[in-house]
Amino acid sequence: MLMVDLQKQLHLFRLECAFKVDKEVLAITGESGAGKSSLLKMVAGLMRPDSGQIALGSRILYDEKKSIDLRPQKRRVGFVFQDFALFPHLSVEDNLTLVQKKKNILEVHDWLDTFGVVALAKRYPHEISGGQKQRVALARALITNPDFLLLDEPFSSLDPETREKMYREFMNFRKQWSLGVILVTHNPIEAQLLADKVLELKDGHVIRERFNHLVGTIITMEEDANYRTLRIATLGTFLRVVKPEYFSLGRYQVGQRVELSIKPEHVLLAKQVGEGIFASNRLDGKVERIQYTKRSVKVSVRMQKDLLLSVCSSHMASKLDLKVDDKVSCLLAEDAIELMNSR
Amino acid sequence: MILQPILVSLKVTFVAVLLIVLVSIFLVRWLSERSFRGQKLLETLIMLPLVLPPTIVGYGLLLLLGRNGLLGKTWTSIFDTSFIFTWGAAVVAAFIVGLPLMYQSLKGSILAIDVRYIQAAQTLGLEENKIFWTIKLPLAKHGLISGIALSFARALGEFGATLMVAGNIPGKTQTVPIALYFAVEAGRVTEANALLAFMLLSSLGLIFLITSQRRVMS
Repeated sequence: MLMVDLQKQLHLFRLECAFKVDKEVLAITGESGAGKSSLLKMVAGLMRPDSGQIALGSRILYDEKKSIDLRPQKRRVGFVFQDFALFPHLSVEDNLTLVQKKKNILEVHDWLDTFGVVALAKRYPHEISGGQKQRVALARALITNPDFLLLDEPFSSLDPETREKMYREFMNFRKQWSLGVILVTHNPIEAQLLADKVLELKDGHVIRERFNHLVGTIITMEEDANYRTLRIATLGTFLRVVKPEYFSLGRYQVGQRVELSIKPEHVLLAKQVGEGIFASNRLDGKVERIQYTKRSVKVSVRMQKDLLLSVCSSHMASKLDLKVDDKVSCLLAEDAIELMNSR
Repeated sequence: MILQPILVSLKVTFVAVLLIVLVSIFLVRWLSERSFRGQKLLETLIMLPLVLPPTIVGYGLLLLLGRNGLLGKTWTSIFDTSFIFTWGAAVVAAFIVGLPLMYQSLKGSILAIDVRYIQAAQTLGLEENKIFWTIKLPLAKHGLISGIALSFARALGEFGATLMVAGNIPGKTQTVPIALYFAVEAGRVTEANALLAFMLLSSLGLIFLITSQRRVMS
């Protein structure tokens, strides 16, 4: 678990950001100059925050109050740069052997093989394509056995075709390595496609946080003249997802696993009193965190492994009288559930 | 007749350039990675011989290395001989005038390295020492080579300071520029022309090396 809570005065604004990342992918989006890359650099130890704390598991990487500021070398945080920063004077193979504590060419070839670039071992960075560079850069970061991985716009320098291909590889990669990842991207679709959580930064502040990402299995699919209706099993219950008639079911099939997402404003909260709620599209959980902002209240509800975020008015929140650990039901609007990448 | 000064010149220049390379690498490593009080002053001192007339540098060295100079005295007390008017003194003169060119060229190249390579290396766990030897120095190779060529040319052509601290002892301290000066003064035209040809050819070769390095860089 990476915990970040830091502040830094940048040229045009003050960066203030707090978040946690478990063994999952957090995408940080936002326009250029929003503070995304600075944030990554501070996590990696390449830039010093003004104040705050960064902890990775039980290790404190930075703590202004305790005057702790680990050097990048000691943080065990892998960093893949936007243009990959492969050392231009070294071959692909030597880019990896250089960073090994003890030279082990077999291990290097294993890693290159994992990423399908072992045939390029003797080539130099300027002799390989963007997609190949990206694979080498990932292999180079992972061979150091990091505890966490930071990716700074890793797909932006690729042509669209290669990018699509690398998205698929990235999703496979996620399945193989249970490693926490922060992915910085200015592309919201990329963030939605690849990440478990999305933070949107603007002028150094988090303006949107999206936790609501579930995985389910399609049980039935129906279509009539006006609607497409899917029943999806998730978290021990069924969700009904209704889509307009132009939504094509062709990409989906019964029994297929799909990823669902829903915006926090479409998650309604109901407090459980006894067994009193009967509603469709209902997911039960416990309140984990309540954040009060100027206009609204953000409630994070924990259900098994997943976290569902709901946003409601402060009026509504006071009416519900919510407290941490309260049992609540989240009611999901059936036409607001989005189906994401199908596999 | 011209072979002797050429051999002396080559010996003095090679030794001086070797020292220049080692000292420049050490200085650049030391001065580019940390800051301390007096750093600017030290850098100014390194660069000073670039703008001072060689005779001033020579006189300064004479004050330092002469029989009564701070370092000269110590040398004499240890080795029971004077350091002035030896080929070692010629090496020191060549070293002092050649060092700023090498230092500047190497430092410029190191500072021009894309910071992302260094940052990548840091996040990959490479310690600063390893980063310097395996990434910075190889990436600054062109600066190192043109620095060697420039300081070699400067050291080879050194006249004023060398004459003041090493004198004009044929076969010992008489380098090509000094031999040329005295050949012209004495009216030995053939000898002067031969020495001129040597200087021209070696300088042309070095400039060619520098420009081809610059081409590779760009």
